[in-house]
Amino acid sequence: MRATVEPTVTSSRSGTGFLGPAAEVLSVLALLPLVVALACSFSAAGADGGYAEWWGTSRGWLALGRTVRLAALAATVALVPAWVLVAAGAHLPRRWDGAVAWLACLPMLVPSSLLATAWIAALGREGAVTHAVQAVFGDVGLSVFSLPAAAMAMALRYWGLAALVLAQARRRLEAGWPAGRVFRLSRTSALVHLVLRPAIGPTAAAWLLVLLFAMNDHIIPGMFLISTYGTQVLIQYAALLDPNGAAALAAPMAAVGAVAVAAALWGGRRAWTGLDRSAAACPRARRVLSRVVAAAAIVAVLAISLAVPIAVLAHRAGSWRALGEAFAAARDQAWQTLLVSGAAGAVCMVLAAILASRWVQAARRGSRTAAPLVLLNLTVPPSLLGIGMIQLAETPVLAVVRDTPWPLVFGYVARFLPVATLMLYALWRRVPVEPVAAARVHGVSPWRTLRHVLWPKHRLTLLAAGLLGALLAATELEMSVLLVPPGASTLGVRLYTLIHTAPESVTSALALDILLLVGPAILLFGLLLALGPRRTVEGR
Amino acid sequence: MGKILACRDVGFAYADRPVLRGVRLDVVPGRVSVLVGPSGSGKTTLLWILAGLIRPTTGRVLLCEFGDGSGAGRPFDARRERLGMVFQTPALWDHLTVEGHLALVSASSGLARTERRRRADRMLDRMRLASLRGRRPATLSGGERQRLAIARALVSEPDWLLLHEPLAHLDGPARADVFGLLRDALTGTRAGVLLATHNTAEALRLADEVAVLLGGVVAQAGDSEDVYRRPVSLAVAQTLGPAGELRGEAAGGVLTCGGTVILEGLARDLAGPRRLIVRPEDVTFRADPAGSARVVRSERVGGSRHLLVEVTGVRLWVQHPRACQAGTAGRLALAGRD
Repeated sequence: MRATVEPTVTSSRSGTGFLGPAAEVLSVLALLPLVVALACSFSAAGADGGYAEWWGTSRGWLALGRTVRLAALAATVALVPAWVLVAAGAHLPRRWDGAVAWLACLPMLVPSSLLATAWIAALGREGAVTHAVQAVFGDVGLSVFSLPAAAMAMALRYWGLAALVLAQARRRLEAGWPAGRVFRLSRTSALVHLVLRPAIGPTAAAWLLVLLFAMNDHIIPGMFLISTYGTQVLIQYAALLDPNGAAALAAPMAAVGAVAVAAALWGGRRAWTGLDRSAAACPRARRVLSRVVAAAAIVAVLAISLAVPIAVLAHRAGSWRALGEAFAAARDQAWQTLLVSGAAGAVCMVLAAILASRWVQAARRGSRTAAPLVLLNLTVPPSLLGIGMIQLAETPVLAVVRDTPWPLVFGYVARFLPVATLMLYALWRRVPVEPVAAARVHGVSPWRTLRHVLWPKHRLTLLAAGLLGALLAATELEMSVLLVPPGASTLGVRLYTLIHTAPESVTSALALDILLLVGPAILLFGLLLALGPRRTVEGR
Repeated sequence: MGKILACRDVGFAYADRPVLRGVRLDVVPGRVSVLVGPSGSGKTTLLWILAGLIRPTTGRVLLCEFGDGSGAGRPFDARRERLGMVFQTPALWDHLTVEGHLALVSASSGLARTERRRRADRMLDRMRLASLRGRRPATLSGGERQRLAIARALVSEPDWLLLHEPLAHLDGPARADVFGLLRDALTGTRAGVLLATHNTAEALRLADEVAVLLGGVVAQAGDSEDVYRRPVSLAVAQTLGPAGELRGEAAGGVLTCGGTVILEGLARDLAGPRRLIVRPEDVTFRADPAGSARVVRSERVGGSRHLLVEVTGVRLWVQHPRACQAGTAGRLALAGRD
């Protein structure tokens, strides 16, 4: 696809001339852990579990098969609540779109160990829901330790991703509906040509993205005792102490991820090419009944994905005192979580601002940049980045950070920089260049432009990007279990290690403590997301 | 006279699409130059080049002596010059108040604080924004926003003023109001002004000089009256207003085409093949059943009428005091001008 070209500001005169080369270097540096991990996977030292061991025999293929089966089922299940939410959302005021999307993405913003703990408490062998189902239907084998229930639990973590993609597609679909009415298309014809056919691509894209994230989730399947390639990677690394073999198993998944993302981009290309004005101007149904039904559908979906597991956790934890005790025992880990995730969020914010501004500039000029390459880090298995980061920390150059939390921070940055960059790019692409050009033309110095023109307009968005990076870092586990330094674990890792050894009341209380810690940050992120883009793009 | 701002063979291309080619244009201090051209002719790009926001692919922008066509002079560095610009969209800073806009721009002028404040107050009064000084752009009307954009461009008393469709987003009374303020602001200014627009009626009311940009090339530039009256081509003429072209053989005070008289009232000494570009006010129509011209339709333009007349397959607009039935035959004559 050819980029749109329009007049844009020359970088050398913007006072940000150094940002261009800096962004290119940064893009390459962000890929360094991935490159090192890939190199590590080819190392001869990995004789115990190298490519030949995994992929020359059936071991790797079986792991891949189990992973794809679980992830595909999860992706399929995720489409159901996503479509319910999106279809119901059409009946709600447009200003609610952001809030609904944010609610749908909430399960992705809490640690996977928390959700897994909650689902084990609800749907484990001794789970509250399991017992309730058994009482009514007898033993139907409903347990998160079985594939369908595990897939459902995973789907309820990642369905927000599908909802985001489909919400974009729905706006495009809405644009076609009035034309269908005007030209008196039959109901069947309108359904087929204006709804179903245009929805195929975005639906496939949503499915592929959920598939990718479910495949790269190493934690939830492991806690549900389902052996996927992710759990094998962790075992290979942590139990068999074979980083090269772990990398050899994970590396081909990076290619699978790249293919999935490419296919998703192709399938949903119409969904994310921006919203046209006709769609934005499209009137919505205003009947009270349809609004009530829509709101009820959304509440039901959110209740199943969030409220039920949290309620079960609360029931298992027993009392506020248990929460206090669990927190007291995990105070060091809480502090450590705040420190590393805060540092990762701050670094993410600065670097994402550099990369996104470079990306926007290149897109407007129709020139090339390496900035979008950082998105690769989001598509590859997180454990691969973790292994790469460990290998990097082993080099003499980075010896000073060995056994400190910094490799963990750098790992988080490498992993979540793409999310923050993508968020800023999507917003900044819509910001007109004229106000900055006006400052330049009228002789406002670069510093004053930054201080008085750019910062007031973009600060909330930047903070939102930083907070998102911090939140994702605080809830990340795949890399954390590999990279936490001795004696400085995080809350998520503590919960992950306690899940099969500590009493359920303790793990439930700890899970709720985590939720209480990240909850305010999630709310703040939602607030920034509501205010920031509006100020950045619309200037309100 | 001081230095002039001169484009010398300026060219620009987006990727492989040329937008400007060999543009030569002078902006003279104290005079208003108007750049007219249809959408996509390269006006925006040329203004952005002059503002230093993009660099020309070829050619240079210079500051040189008036009348010096040699191409000598020092490069024009927009960063070092006192430049003001009104953008096509107001391009205001949404988070700043009206007063904040002027304060931010004048803070970079190097003047003392009291002088900056005096200038800002004077500009607010001049643009009738004094009572709105604490308001933000989102709370202003379209006209007020545009007045603020003009005030911002003028507050530092620039040497060069670039106006890019300054009335584009206004209509009705707001447009007339802002136009009046703009005209007052430009009257007696010492700045060299370049106004880019496709609204030729307003442009010609302000212009001392006009440059017509067609397909990225300056098709004609010069005194506004001269360009309007003596266009080098029909395309240039039509850019500045309605015009038609009549071709024929001039002899004995008439223009004939294939033996048919198509235009009367020419100078008696005019002879040979002629190509005349005529505007509605240049030609009169007189009903005559034996005439070669036919009225196609009649339209009201302001207080008068314009007739669309066809003669030997050529259509042109003619000013006329009253409406005429379609199909009315008549004769065309020059209205005392050649």
